[in-house]
Amino acid sequence: MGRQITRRDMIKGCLVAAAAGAMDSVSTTVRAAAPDPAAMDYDAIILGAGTAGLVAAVEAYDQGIKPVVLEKMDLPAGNSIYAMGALCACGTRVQNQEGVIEGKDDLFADMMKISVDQADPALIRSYVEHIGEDVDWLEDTIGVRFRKLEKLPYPLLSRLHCVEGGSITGGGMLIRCLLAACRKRGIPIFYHTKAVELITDKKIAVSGVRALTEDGLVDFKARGGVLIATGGFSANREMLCGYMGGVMSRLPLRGSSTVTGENITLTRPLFAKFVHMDQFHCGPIVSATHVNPEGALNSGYGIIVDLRGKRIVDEGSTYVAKARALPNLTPENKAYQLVDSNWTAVKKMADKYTGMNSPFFRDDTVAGLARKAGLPVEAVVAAVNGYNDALKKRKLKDLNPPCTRKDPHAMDKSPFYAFPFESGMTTTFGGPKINTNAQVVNLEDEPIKGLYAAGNAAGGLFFRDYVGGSQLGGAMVFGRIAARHIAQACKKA
Amino acid sequence: MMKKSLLASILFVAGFALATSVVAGNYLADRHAQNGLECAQCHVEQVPSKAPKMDTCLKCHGDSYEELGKASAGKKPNPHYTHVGDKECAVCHKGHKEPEFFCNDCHKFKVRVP
Repeated sequence: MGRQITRRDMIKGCLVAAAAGAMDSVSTTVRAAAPDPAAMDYDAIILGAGTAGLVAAVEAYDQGIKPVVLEKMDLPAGNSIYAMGALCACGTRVQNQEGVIEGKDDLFADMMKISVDQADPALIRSYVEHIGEDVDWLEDTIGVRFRKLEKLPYPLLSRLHCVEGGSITGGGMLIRCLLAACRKRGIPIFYHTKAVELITDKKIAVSGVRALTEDGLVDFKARGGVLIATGGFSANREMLCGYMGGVMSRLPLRGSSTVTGENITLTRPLFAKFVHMDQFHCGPIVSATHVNPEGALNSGYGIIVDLRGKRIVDEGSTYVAKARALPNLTPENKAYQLVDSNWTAVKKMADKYTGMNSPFFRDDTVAGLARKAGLPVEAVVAAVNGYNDALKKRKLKDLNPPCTRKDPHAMDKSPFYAFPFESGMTTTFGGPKINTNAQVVNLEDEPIKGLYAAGNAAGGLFFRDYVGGSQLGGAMVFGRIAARHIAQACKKA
Repeated sequence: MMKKSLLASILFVAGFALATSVVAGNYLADRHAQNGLECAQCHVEQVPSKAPKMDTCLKCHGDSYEELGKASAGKKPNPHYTHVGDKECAVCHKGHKEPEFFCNDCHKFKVRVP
């Protein structure tokens, strides 16, 4: 059939490019023509050219069916390109080569635990059963190259497979590699093509998509199914306000500004069952420069003060918890991470801010630091002295708010630094609930025929927080599962 | 042809280092006109209303987006090789008004756009 792409073909495009500092031959240059309304019949229609969508497109093609990808923007513009590009996995070849044994049951337990047992265990089980093979597939079929395993983040095991991005984000490289795989297969990707309605038959089975193109509305027919892989609604302020409240709806974005909730608007008329709609992830960010101060917040050193110079949050909590609390603790959603030079990586963080032209402050005294940062001097000095005194007396937990650090350090070594940050919206977790076939279910928990969701467009996999690398991992797993199920549906038809 | 293309590419990229803020009458399109280009060499419509697409720009500049990326590899960040992907040229390089640096919608990089 001439459809089989050899591993060598793919690796040529991606591995060489991924080498640090190397210029890449994996382009995202758009060459797709405008859709021809007369020839819009496909087996699988995939909405969204992100990780889940592109993975599904490749898998669908390799299953022998005819996919098409519709992307509303001019390029893949979702959250993937902003991500560090990490996949949380167990049982991969990379782990075997490094002599690491990570069990499926352990990962299952950790993913359930972090969701406070609110995630759908069946979906989590699917994740742990498939993710190892899927990460290997990224290497073998797509040509993605991974960095050496790192023990990051929770629960600090060797599960994180970080895509080697070279000079760009790992997520950006992942998308480039997936686009190259689509291009090799001749899979059509129509940009500036926004799905505005799911087309259904008399039984509300999904049979196609009505999309707005630069030339007007075009109907695309899907023989096997439609996969919604458009992400969540982290950039839709109205939806955020409705589901999470006004405070959270005003957070700056840490990722894409175009992830606007088509997973909800398209599926609502079909009575899809929406779950976990109030759930989201947020983290620290400097909105003006998009430098990520996560390392400072996780350093284990220093204190966090608001614009009034007062401690406002338990420094012993995670960076996620700190970021989540900040907008409710300060009307400005702004704070400073103050650290001293006992933190050995402080210069690295200062270099990071400098490299991104993001202002921070440094001084030999706490008072001088506060003055430079424009913070109330007396309040900041009192906050630092109060922290140091409580540490000496072993009474950090008696502070208001308490500090629960297990291994606290005095804040007494100059120079001192002040890194400003805000809380930012990363992603939403809610959406139409899927089953283990990636089929969207209705309010009676029955699959809606022909309708699939994957990645952050789908609901059920995450609640409260997520194990690092499992967002892209989930996109991988359920993107491929959806493609295979659509292929089966086509073969039965 | 190769030499001409290479020269055009070098001049294009050198613009990042040399260009100062564009003054009225010295927009990108004005400079193209000063170099003898007709409107129709970039614009497809008889009465131009849309910015030229990337393919049009690449006929003279760089041959491909990858080549542009290689030519501007010394910049930090490299404006033609980013995590966002290969943006349309006219998103930053405005023909008839001040240039904009798309990356600075989120960042504050010091990159001059010709």
